[in-house]
Amino acid sequence: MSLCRLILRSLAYYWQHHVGLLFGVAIASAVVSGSLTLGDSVTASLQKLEDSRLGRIRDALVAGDRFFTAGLAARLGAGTHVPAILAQGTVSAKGGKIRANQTQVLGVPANFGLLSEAGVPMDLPPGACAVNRNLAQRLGIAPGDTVVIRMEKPSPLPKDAPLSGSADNDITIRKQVTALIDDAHLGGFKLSTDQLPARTVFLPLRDLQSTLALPGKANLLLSTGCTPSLLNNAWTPADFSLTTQLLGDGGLEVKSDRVFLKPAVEQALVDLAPEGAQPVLTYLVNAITSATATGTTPVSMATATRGIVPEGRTGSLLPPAAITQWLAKDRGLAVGDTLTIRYFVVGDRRTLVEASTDLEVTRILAMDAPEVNATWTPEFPGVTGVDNCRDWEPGFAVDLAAIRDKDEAYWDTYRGTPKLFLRPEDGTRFWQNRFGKATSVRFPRAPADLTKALRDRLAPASVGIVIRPLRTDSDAALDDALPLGSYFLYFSWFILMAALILAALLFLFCLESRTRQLGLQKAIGIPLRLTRRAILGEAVLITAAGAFLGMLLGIGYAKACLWGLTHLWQEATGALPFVFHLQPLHVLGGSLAGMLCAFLVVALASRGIFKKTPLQLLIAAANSPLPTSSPAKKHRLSRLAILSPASCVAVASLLGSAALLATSRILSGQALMGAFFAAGTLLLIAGISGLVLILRRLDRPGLPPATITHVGIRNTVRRRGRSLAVAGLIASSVFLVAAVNAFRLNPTHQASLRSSGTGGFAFFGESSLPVYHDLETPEGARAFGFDPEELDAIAVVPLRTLPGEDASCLNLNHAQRPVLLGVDPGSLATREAFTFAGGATTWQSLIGLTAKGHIPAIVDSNTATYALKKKIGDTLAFTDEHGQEFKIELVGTLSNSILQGSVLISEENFILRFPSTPGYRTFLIDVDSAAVDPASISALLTRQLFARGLSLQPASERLAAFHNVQNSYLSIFTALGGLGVVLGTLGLGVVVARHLIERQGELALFRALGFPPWHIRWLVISENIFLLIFGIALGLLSALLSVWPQVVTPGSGMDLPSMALFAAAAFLCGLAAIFAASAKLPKLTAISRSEAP
Amino acid sequence: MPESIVAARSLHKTFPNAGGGDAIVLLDDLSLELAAGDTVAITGASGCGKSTLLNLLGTLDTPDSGSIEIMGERTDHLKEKALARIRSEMIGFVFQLHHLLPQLSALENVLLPTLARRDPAHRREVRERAENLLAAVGLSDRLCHRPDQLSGGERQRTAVARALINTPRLLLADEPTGALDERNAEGLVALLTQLALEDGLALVTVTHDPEVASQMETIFRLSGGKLSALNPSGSKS
Repeated sequence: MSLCRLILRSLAYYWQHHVGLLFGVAIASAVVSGSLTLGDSVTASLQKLEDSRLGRIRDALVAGDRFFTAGLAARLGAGTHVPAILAQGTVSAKGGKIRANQTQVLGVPANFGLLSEAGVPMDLPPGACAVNRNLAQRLGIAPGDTVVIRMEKPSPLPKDAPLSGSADNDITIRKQVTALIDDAHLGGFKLSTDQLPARTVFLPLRDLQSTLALPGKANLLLSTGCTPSLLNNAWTPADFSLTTQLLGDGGLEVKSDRVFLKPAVEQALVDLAPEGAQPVLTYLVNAITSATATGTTPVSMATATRGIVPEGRTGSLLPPAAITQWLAKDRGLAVGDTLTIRYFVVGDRRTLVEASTDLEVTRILAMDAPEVNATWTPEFPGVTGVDNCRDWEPGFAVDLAAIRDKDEAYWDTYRGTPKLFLRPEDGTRFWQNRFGKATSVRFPRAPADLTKALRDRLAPASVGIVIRPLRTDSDAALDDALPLGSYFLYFSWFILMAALILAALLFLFCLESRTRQLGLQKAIGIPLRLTRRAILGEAVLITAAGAFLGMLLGIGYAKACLWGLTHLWQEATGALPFVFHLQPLHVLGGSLAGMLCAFLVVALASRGIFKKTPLQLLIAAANSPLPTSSPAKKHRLSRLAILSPASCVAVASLLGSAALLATSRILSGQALMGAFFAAGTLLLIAGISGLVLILRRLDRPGLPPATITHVGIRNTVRRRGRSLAVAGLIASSVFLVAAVNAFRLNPTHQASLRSSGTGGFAFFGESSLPVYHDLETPEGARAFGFDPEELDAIAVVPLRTLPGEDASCLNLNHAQRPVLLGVDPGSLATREAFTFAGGATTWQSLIGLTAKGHIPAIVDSNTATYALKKKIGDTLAFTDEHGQEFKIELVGTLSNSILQGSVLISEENFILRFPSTPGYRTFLIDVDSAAVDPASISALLTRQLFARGLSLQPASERLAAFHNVQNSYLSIFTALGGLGVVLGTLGLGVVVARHLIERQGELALFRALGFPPWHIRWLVISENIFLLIFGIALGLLSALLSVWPQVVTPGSGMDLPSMALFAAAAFLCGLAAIFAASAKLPKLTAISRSEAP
Repeated sequence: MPESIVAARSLHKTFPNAGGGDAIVLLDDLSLELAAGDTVAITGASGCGKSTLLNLLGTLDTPDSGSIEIMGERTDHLKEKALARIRSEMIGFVFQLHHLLPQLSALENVLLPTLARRDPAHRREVRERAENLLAAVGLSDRLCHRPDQLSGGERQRTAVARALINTPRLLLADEPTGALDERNAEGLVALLTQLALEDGLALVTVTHDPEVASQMETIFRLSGGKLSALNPSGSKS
């Protein structure tokens, strides 16, 4: 005889008893391994998305609105490097009836396809136009259909800059679609990592270069591997938009195509020859006036540089100026005279503010003086390339009527020759702007190997050309993606607990039916450890088999959850297309974990039996336990019932619940929800305490029971602890699963209030192309064809936007570069828009810098906690367009707002760091709904800003999309938790079965007394139905109280039918378990033949 | 002097009174000493404490006061592990209800008490002994039969063989014939006494059957917590 043989024999004999344990373990293992598999599937789905988004691309050189030479790709050397142009636009089809905003316009060469997973060149001949499948689906188009692409022509200067030329520089391209590009061929390519599928139109690079008048240029380079050292050894000044020009005196001038030199570039150039380098700043002044002549000299060039302007008279406070002979004659000026110049400087929202300065004439230059030439003047868009002054379009209002014939003649002869010169420091003081303070740098002699010299001093990032490690960023985003697998494990907690408890109960039940065996083994001297090993050995084998079965079931569980995420709870995960992915190690690990949990639970649960003495085990027959209290004690207790702990708890809980309900009148929002939830919890406690009192009351001698049902209900007092545990567990489980719905978010509730998540705004708007004009000014309104009165009922808060990754709950990935928004704090502060959840309490906190010198930022609390994983005081690193890293510090969080997904800083700080990011692309729009229909305003704005690709979404809808994520998670918890509760009610069957065994003799007596079998069965059923109904009713009532605010609020999304369904399912399952277990009754009341002598 | 197998001295055992009164005294200053080869019957009214006395002698229960020695080793203060060893090596039990494990064959049930021994040589030896014991009790053709395939008498005889597998010195039988018919009962008692004699065991039988009691060398009556010999011969009380 060996232990193994005993284990195997017992297992074979009692296999039916172990089925419950087997399935309990299988369910537990399935839940754990299934949740892990779900997590792996989500990760694999995100990975697949990333792989098709990037193909073989590892890095990207991104320049934004700057352009480098396409030839840079060839100079980078080993690897595949593909230049491209990436722009934003809108695409419309079917005669403009359908439009897709936020569309990428990607100009690519044929070898772009080599970067795809397919690795084949892209077939995009000249004149062709391809769209990706998502865009095709959005527009409902196919090859052969016509699309209209609207985009903005890149400007040398940001449109916000003075002298940037006309703001209206839109391009419209009409094309016939020649191909659809699928994801395997990089149809899904985009720079950001989020689940929103890209909408892309592909054009041949050369075609797009030609259309944009940027031959040989690119602003994007995609590479299979691009390192800073590779780039540093490959770029040329032309990649930095720098041009060189030999000067007549043998010197060299370095200019920028972007008019102003970036400060880092200017400094690097100056450093090449600190003594000899001469920065130059040429500006356009609006008018020159003087007391010496009437009228004005209109729009003229002025240059600030050294070596031309002598100092003024001693004691003069006016800055000195050297003027040309022409100006001196025009204004009647002589040395020592004073002149006034008027010029524009940049304010907010492309507003130009005119400033003026008085100057003292200290020198008059002859028109043939070497200094007087047009080489000082850069290519100002809309100005220098124009033949007639009256055709100038400098980007601001020019008084064309003031241009005289002599001015036209000057232009014909001298073009952009400056009419006056200032000292460098004066020019910097007057005309320095965020785009730079020099328009060129002159060298007396050309520096040796300018390219190498600049490479040694300049980094591409300093001019906004940065290497983005796309693949590394993608891996990082995936690594820290939302742990959906873990979430499902938490959601499945009730199923797991129910399965383990059921398994333990059934195993214990089996064990208790073998107590005599155990007692015998102890009595005949088998050591406890061997007896225990024998029993636990059986448990190990059963749990192992259950774990194996659980592995298989877990696959089904994972697939079922994925189906749920795709069809029922899709709002939780956005548009992510799921793929099922199995990681054998995880499946095995999950099953083992389930097995281990089950084994531990079983081992712990059975400890009590092993502790009993042999005698206790031998005589532990199915005898009814005696009443737990003596009659004398009951009598004493009954007098003190009102002071008993149960009474006190019940009364206190009820009073507490009532008090909370009373205070709820003055509460709102989360506080109100919390009060009702607490009230529901107290009601639950009161109910359970009340059950103690009920059981106590039932235990008192009173009138004899009139029916068998009364007897059954009175039987609940025989094992008060067990009755309380059963009813209490059912009530608590039902309450927990149903009451979490108290935390459903209702986007429509008080949506018009400033304190709500909408901030009181009617619409949230985004435009594909920047809006430069202030819509709240008559000029801005007219710029878009509005009648200014049409916009009287709206107010717009525009936000500057640095594109990035969506850091909202809709993005499962960890956002590496969240969208950055720059807002005027005052515009939100005066409105007292939104509610702060933590940290700052006012929008003014965005102004200036924090105590640590960081830029203050405010984010939505969900973005902070879940997407960025940051808290108040934490910092985020960004790189500005000068290539300098800076930190933003979270100073405040907003409560459940439509601004989720972005990081907000002040507009001032935004412009400081990203001066070249023009215009506004995000808008919060107020509508006076009493004066005008919001829907009509939405239609009007969308129509008039069609060219900018404006799309408006009702703020409550946007909020609802975010809320639906949390609400979906609550639905998942309710569904899975409900399943767990239903499974738990099956445990009632086990309890009933135990009752039958314990009370065999008593039930046999009933039979002997002539009770029909159905009455005896009803005796057992009624006792347990009472507990089941009490538990479910109490749990449901308490839960209903908890969710009452949601129930009475329209649009809350409170799913009462589901709650009712769940309660009904729990009741029916419990009922079925009770009836099934009690079906064995007739056999148990007969004397067993096997025990007969 | 014959070897003392079990010596109980001044045993006192009470049972709590559910009605709230004084505890019920089952054994009152009871002493009993048995040597090898002694066969003893303990009779008495139902509920007088016969089984309790047997449980005390078999170390399944502990006295309120007094001492018990098995083969000279005092047991009343030992821990369960030590008691298990004593029960395994020195005591054999025969219960009224056989308590055979339904999942094991007759041979395996007999071998069950040997589970604690891992020595392969011992296993071979006890297997042979088990077969011999089953043959001795007339069940050589029932080795592979499970309890549900045996008659009541056969089950009880298997239980007797199981009790003897570890060559105990003390055999305790609690109403061994209680569930048997007259013929089987007679046969079982004869078997018990024969084996006790052959192996030099001390046999204590609790019974209310005078026929069974008469087969023992000494008959004690337990009444009022005290033992009194009805046919004093050889055993001391």
